[in-house]
Amino acid sequence: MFEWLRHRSKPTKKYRTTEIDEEHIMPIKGRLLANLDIIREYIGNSSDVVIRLLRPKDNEVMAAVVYIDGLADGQMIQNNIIRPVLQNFPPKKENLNASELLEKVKDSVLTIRDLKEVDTLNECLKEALSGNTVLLLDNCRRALILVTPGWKVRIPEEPISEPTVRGPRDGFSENLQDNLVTLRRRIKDPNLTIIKMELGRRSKTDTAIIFIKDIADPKIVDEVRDRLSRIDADSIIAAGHVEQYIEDDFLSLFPQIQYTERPDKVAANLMEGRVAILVDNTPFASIVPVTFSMFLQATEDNYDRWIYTSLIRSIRYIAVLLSLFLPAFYVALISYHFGMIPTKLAIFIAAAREGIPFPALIEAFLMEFTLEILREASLRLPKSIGQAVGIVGGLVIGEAATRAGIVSPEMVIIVSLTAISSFSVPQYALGVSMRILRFAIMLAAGVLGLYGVMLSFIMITSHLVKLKSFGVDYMSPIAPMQPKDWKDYIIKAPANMLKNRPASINTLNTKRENQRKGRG
Amino acid sequence: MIINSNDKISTKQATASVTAMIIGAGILTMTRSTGKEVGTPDIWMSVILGGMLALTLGFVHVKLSQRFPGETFFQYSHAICGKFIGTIINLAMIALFILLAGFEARVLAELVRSFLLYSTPLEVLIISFLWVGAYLVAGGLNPLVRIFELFSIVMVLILTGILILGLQHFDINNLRPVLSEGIMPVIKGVKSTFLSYLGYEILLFITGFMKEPQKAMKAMFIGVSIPIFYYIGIAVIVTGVLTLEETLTLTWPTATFVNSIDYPGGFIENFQIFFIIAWVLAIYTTFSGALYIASMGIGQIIKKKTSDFICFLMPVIFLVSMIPDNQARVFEMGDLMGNLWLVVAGIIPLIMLVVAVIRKKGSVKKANE
Repeated sequence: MFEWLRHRSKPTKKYRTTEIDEEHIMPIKGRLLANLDIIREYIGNSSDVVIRLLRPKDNEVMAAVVYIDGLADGQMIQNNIIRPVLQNFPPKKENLNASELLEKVKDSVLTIRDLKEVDTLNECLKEALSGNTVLLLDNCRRALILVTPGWKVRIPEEPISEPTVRGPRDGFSENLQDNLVTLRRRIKDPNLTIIKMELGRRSKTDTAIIFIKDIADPKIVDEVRDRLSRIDADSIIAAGHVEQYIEDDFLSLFPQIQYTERPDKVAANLMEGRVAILVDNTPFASIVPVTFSMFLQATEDNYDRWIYTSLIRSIRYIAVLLSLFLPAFYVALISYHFGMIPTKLAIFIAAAREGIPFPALIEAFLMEFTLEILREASLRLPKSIGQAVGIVGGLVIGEAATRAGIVSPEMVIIVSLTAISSFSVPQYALGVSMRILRFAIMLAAGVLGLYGVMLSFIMITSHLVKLKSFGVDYMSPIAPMQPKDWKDYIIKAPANMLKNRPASINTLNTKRENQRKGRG
Repeated sequence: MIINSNDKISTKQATASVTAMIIGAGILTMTRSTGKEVGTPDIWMSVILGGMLALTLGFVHVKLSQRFPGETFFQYSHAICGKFIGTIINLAMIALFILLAGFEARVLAELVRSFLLYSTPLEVLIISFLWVGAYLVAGGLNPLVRIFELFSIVMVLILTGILILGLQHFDINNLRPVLSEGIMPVIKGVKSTFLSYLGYEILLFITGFMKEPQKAMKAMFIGVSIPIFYYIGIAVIVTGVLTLEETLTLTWPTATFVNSIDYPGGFIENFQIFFIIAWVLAIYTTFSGALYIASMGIGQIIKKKTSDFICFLMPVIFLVSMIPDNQARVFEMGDLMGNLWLVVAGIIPLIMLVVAVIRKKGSVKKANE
């Protein structure tokens, strides 16, 4: 079914080492002014583009630097490029030809840390737009790219979306390089491999694939690289954008890629043989492949003692079931199977529902819908107003609606219990899919009672069992059964018992502990 | 796409498939239908004998399948019996599985109508169930066996639970006298218990997909033994708690038995509803297995992709499930199906095995491993 919808664009090129205009490669011309004209033609309209012509004092050769103000570090350009070029340029009497001149400038004039040579204007433009400085010489068919990025970066702060009690407080920032550094600092293994790619024909967003060479399954790495290189989009603004292109099943309600703001979480996942994707300008890392259970595990689970973690995890599983099925179950009981409710409670419920004008299904929809609106409203508002929404919502849902006889107090209990349960899911992405499913199951319960609830349960299970994330079964380790992995699934065994990496993901190296002989 | 090595079926999954296929609608009515044939409280002996029969036939099936590694019944039937007779046998097999799927769907609908939704039309119940089944089967064999694996554990847990809780009202005197009318009534009952064992034939079709086909025998023995064990338990406890006389008057003796249990805590009343809801799982596995095999059969006869025929099969199964016009007829249809089954899935594979051995078809070496 839906095969026609799943069509993905064919793979084009493995890497896009790209150009302003992809087919049209522009070699650097002999005349400096001609080159500058071309550069002006492409980016000269912007006011922040700086093209500075230099005439060194002992030589008639002209030079030019091109950079973007603000992206490149102005102080650095002035001290380490413009000043040495103007003052220490090889004098005319040395009689060097153009390429020798370039070598000389590169080797003994510039006091810049990192540079490279290029021979097309396309690359010059690209590098200038990435915050580097281009140095062009007259009569020379090559140019120097001087690495001078210097934009302002946000200082990494504690991740807002994933706070912890015990874990480290740093989160990713918007700068890809800084993010890679935080990961390198956590894993000092020479096998930690970073592959960089550029995504987006126009935006040229730097993207890094991170994995540990001797743990991660090369098949998964290749698949990730392949899917990323297949993205044929104008621009990649953020990681969430990339995720939508590379996920396995875009018709599924369940998230197939996990994102996190926490470097420690990424490090832990890399160690399990997973692959992380970092996109420049996004303080989130995407982790693939994922399994369902990952969405119910918080980072802190690894830092707390095992008994506590096991208890908390099982509570989370119960919470997921409650938040999916509780309102539906209630609707089914009220509308079809009233006899199942214990007699005493049934009398109470019947009395409370006496004046309610709506059937249970409508009542439940009304309340859940109000709740969704409230949630959406408080999400987008500034924090100070958000609280006001909470108060209004609490009053409207809790008190007024019951007093006015629109909903029964039992329904208020059910809805709030459902809401609380859904908040206890540590990953927002899964919470969203559960919210959508909850409405569908409620509808099924309204039409077919408990039978409908059961059918929807079977349907969801069937779907989850089919789902894969980068070749890894979404529901592992329970389908397919992998009892070895159950030590770190609903319960978490003591740390010294978790000697192997998860078996649900193929890894080149399965042992976590006791690799050295003579230990333990 | 990455193809994982676990796309083949493990021995554990094969075992679970056999169990999940067997446990289905049969267990709900087995005590009554067998009790009618036997007429004495020795129902459990018939259950054992029926299980032995299923084991023997399962043995034949596995031996047959192992001679043709990597092939399903629908493929090697041509090799053994020739094109014409092979196709006829295949069609009979497909028809049987369609019949089984229709029967399971109808029994479920009847069950739901008796206990949950008293006035919802049967058509609605059946069609919604068919859709859910078709959704799973469209994903191919792997999701299917995973569901088998998952749900078979749930079924086993539920059965263990009710058997243990049922012991509180158990009265051994209800099972006496043993063999009061000799062994003959017991043997008469075997045929009707056999209906409850339908489904073990799945190994004819999935042995070819197993990672270690030489272990198919083990999978069959364990997979059939689990239902035998629980069937005996249910037969003993239901007759022990309800007495034979009462059992014979009930449409769904097992559900009534579940209702007689006092549950600790007792917060929920009418506990049988929970049992019935959970039993949707058991019927679902049998149904989707039958649907899968039927669509696979048609797919392999016409040499097309399996999943294309599900849409075509659904209305057929729906019509089959609507043939009986009342509940009594449903169970008559079940008995008829049991008889047909004994012929098509019991005797024919046996003959085929003999023919294969005589004509030296298939790889004998593989079978002896």
